[in-house]
Amino acid sequence: MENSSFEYLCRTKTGFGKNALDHLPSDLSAMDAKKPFVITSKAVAQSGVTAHLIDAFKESGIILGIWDNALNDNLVDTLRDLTDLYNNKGFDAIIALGGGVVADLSKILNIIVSKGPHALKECKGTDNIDAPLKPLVYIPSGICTGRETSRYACVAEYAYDSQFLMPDIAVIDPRMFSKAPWEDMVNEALRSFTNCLESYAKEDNPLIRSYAYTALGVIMEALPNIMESDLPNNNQSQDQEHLPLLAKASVINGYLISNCDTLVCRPLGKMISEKCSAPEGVCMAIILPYVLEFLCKDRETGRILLPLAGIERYCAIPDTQRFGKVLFIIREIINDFFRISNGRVPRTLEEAGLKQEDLAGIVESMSKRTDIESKALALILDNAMSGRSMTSS
Amino acid sequence: MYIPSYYEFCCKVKTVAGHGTLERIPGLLEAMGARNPMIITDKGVSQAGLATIVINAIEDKISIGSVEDDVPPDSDLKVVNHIASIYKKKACDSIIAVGGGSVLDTAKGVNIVVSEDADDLMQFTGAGALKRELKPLIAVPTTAGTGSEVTLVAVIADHDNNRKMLFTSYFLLPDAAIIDPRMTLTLPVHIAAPTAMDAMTHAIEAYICLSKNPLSDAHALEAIEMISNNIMAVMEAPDDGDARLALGTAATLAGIAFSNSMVGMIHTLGHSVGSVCHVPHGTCMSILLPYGLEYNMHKVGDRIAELLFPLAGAKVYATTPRQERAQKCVQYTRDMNQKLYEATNGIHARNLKEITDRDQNPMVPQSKLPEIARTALGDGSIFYNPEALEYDDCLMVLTAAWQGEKLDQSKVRKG
Amino acid sequence: MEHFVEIKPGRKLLKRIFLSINLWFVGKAIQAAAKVDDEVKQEFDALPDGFTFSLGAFPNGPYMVVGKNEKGVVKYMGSKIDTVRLDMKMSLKSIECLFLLFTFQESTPVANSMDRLYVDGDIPHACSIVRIMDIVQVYLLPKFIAKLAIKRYPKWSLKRHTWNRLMVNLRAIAGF
Ligand SMILES: [Fe+2]
Repeated sequence: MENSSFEYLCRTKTGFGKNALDHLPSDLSAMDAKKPFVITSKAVAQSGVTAHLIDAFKESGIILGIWDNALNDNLVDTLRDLTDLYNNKGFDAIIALGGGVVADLSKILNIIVSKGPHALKECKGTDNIDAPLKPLVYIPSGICTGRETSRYACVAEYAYDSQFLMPDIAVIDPRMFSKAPWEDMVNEALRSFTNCLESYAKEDNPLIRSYAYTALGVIMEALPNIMESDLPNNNQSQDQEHLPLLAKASVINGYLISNCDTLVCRPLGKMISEKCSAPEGVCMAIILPYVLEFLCKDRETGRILLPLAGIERYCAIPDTQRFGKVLFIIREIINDFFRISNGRVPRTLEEAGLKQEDLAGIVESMSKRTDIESKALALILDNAMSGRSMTSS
Repeated sequence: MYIPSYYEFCCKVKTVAGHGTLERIPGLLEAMGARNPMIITDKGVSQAGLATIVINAIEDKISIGSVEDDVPPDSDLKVVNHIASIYKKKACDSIIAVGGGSVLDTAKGVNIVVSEDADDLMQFTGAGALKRELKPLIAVPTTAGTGSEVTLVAVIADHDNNRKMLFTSYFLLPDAAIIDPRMTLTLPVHIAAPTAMDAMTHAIEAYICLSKNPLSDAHALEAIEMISNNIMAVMEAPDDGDARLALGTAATLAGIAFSNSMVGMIHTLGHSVGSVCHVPHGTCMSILLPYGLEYNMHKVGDRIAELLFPLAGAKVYATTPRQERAQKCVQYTRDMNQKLYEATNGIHARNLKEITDRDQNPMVPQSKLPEIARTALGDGSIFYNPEALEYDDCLMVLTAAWQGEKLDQSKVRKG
Repeated sequence: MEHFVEIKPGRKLLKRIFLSINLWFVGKAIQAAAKVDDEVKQEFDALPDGFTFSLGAFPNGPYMVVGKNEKGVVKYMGSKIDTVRLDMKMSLKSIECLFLLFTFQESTPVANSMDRLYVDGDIPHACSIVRIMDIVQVYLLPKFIAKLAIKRYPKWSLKRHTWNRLMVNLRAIAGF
């Protein structure tokens, strides 16, 4: 433990489960918020879940404003309109209902209504906000990426990074989830899975391990259900149980990525995904075993089996076989998805459609972001192309 | 895994743990826009030289508005108001609390007064009374046990009106907790032992009691393992900085776990022994821990069995037959107390009758047990315990713990 | 403006009526149990004279208020909290949370551990009130439901289970 020192911060209070929304009026009033402004998207509004949100505010005497046109473009114009609305109507808190686009817009709106219009430029970059903003609540209603609950917000060239961008409250209420495409769920699950397992393996930080352990437990529980639902064919989830579970893992994923800025799979998977047909989360999971083998090559690593296997199975597997079992479990998950989807979820980067000639470029841009040598990065990618195990090459 | 149909989890405190982390305080304050902190501590801490260590670590990077070391062992309203007036006079803009529970309670009280510009603290008591962020507050715990650096309550005594004011709010949580082993390195082993067992009890009760949830479980497991792996190392080599750091970190983790899931009967009875007989809290915890496990065995035996893993490790867990794990876990906590008894030359008491004050007088006469049992019925933690406790039940457990005999589990009334 | 609506969420009348009736009945039953049941009597004796407490939903009720007057007599004091000085306030976070409690989906300790129930007041007093409500639930509810709500179903004498139960229920309804 020599030289070890760590930091951890999660500013968000998270409520998970039954009737979670019914706590909101009281929780908002505990932050002195009397009139919240709900930001959401057309798709979410049309799915009808806003009715549950409105229902939760019945009997509370609180008036809600709902704006439902969150899009990815025209940020500056949209913000001007929303800021006017916020100020003219006397709102004093923001509720972001939906996914990444809604969350990004809400966070940036919060910067402006808390700090003034000039903050749009002044607060850009890392750690340029020095005090809490207005109360911000995040409510997932489908697929999330984890960024929603993170310290990051980004629309076009406007990128912000501050602890004060983490929402004050995240509410996961099963009633709020409608259907989602099967492949999006797979992507969400694998993204959280990869980030959580890598941070558990990498960081000598018991707080990170605690959050990662919890999220991995949730994902391991949700995965068989997602697989069994055998839905790539009808393309829509029928069972609304998995989405709240995945959202729970994603919300925790957001806390983790806010605290580990040296994750490898996350940026690497994103770069790969930009060059091929597979989504980010899937690319991250494909490279995960290789990255783990590299990261763990000279450390005690059997421990990372614990969150995947649970106490009972973990203890039953001998110490020397634990790390091998981890790699086996990851490959099994990827192979199962491949099989169930009839090959639509790839097992290797080659199957994902990545071209050999793109590798060098990815290695180069990645080596600027990490202290892992280019040679090692090239080896990781090379093996992940074909699905070879690291040790055999 | 046990997952309640609804649960909440929140710890807004930035945890900064490691060697040399005191030096990060100026940076943390600056990030919150603060430039002139007040240090609040008590005489014990400052006489042990700990306040000086903190001051030396930060003074060349930030100006210190004032150092107040007048906090009594039982936080007091007058002291709070007095320190708050100095805070205002010296134009401080943030607080660094260096010490244990009462220092932190006082600092939280001062923070309410200076942030809300309050004349009467009473109007901020009770849930939901605080509605806004307070001034930046950094906690530097010096005991590695209570976990008060991550709890959202503060208790301040108003001696003039003979009342205790209870404050509860997420806004009372410090902005950061700094765990630096320099703060606990000089803590004598006979104090380090019970405080570590207090932290252990926080984690174990968080894991077995009614209000547990997956996130509090994960923090609890980490905490138990760290304490179990490091407590004897500190006993053998009190200057082992790494082991001290591990205990300090574990205490914070355990604090996060129990403040999100509450504690049960070990604290119910422990608080009462403490308030009736003035026994240090950690001592009560060490002694009562095995009894709390035994009493709840029929209700949560599977949870107790799981604890054998963080306590004793994977090998012991795997080689112990499933049906024996829970009992072995209880035995493990008894064995720990025995080892701590030996390591402290008999100062660490193993049962209630062994507890003595400085003049070697017994502190818990058997005749006091009925009064302790009655007091226990008024402690809120009683409701989070898996099995119900009535007066007779409390007395039965206390009697066994007084004698130092195992609890006869067949006599526990099963609800 | 386009894409924007302002909504005044309104009320939940049926739930409010259901809960008001339940709270009224529980309040009356506490008053009755304080006369009929020795253990409830003892718990109230330990509370200071003039002690009043409320149970209800944040922020607009419904509520019930029960208090002990200067002579030590326990009385249901109605459904208004703003006209009395309260020593203790037990509030559920919303009317839905109160509904979960009164439809026996969640017990008091469960509601408390889920952060749905807040207690403002002295903790030893709150402990007494929770014990009193446990006993009152045993009087009011059939065993299989009461067992869900409390940790340990008490072993009572036949008289307490039959005669006292009858008296508590009768007095609660008839209000004597
Ligand atoms: Fe404690």
